[in-house]
Amino acid sequence: MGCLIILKSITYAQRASGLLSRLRIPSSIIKPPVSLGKGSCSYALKIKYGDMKKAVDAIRGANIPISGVYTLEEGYYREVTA
Amino acid sequence: MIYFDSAATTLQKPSMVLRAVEAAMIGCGNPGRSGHKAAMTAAKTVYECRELIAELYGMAEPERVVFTQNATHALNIAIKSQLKGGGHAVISGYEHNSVVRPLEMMEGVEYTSVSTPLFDPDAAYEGMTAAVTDETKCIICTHISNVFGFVLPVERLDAFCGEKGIKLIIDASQSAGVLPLDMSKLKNTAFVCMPGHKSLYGPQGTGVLLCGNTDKLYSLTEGGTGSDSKNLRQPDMLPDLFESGTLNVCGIAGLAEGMRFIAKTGLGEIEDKERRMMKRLASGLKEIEGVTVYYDRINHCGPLSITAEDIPSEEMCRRLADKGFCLRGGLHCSPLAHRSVGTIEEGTVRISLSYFNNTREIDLLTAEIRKIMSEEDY
Repeated sequence: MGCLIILKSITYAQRASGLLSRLRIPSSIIKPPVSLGKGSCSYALKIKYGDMKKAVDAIRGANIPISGVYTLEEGYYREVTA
Repeated sequence: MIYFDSAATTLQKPSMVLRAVEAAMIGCGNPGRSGHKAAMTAAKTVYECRELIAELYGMAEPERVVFTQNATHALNIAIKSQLKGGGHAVISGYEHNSVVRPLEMMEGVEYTSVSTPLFDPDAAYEGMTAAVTDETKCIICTHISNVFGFVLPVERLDAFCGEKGIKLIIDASQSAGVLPLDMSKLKNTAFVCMPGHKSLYGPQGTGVLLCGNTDKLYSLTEGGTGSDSKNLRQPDMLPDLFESGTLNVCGIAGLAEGMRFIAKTGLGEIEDKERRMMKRLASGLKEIEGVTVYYDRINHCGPLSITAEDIPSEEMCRRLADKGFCLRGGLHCSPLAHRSVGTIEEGTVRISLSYFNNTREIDLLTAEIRKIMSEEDY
């Protein structure tokens, strides 16, 4: 199961990705469906489900605003409160 | 050709700058819009440049590094953000027209220009701080005069701004890539503005706005940012607020290589080399009868101005150009600086170096100016 962390801009996604990389959490930057960005264009970090909590805490700790967190299971996205 | 006009733009760039521009033209799409390879390559290129600049200036948040067209564009954003709705500004007597003209054009804005003696940072500090009133919203000060190379006391002004609860805007056009500035210590500096194409060795068409401690952010240009697209209002997050439209990715790719060159060489080494060459140049020119050299061993860095008796600055530059030397004469878009020093009538001959000049070139220029002056029967 994967996880998507939605961020408002490519710059936020890049900064967050760099932050996770320093914490040895692998991530890739993707364009998520518009619906996951609350109807706006955004970028997402795709990470492993097991890294979700640590990643979200780190990103929030760096004051990078998160627009949403979703799990991806069998092709379906489900918003979670991380 | 021997190039001494680096205060306008550096001509010799590290070879990787040229290669990076070409590579970006071939491989970079539009950053922050799509998720395909070309778009993501562009986004990576742009972000790496943000990170390099943030690191050089002690900034923890790379998104506070905004790319602009040039330093003038950055200064317009800074000044119009800080003085939106009117107010009073204090500026040094050495500011470029890229500071003065926006102030002149803004409704409800008044400013006090403080003329002080050349190479006297204490006088500049005392004069500017004394000019602050209850209506003053900000001080705007160049780090290095683009005409005379006078290093102004921006760190002390930042501390003063903190005491008064106002902000500082720094024009780092001549210092970027030569003198350090630490944004983590400049607690009261709202913005630092700089070109990418001078001593950061990027291509023309690149500039940088560092957003410091301020919540007064006002966009001059609204439009597509690739973010928050459902919202019909301009996003308020950085850098998107100030980066509407397609970025100059090719230029930024080149600028990133310029930044890597600076990081590898070291600001200290760059400053030392340029100061050594400038000291040699100033010493040589001072020995020529009829030439006035505006130089100070301590409070000078960057461009050197000279005047020659009975030879207007533009005429001297023309004669030197005939011999293959590239220099700039006239007022250098900074009439305030010339009024401060008393060179407003004919301006000055400005000699500005880069890291890629050498002592042989300096000696050749000195010899040519000596020859021209001897032909004038000195």
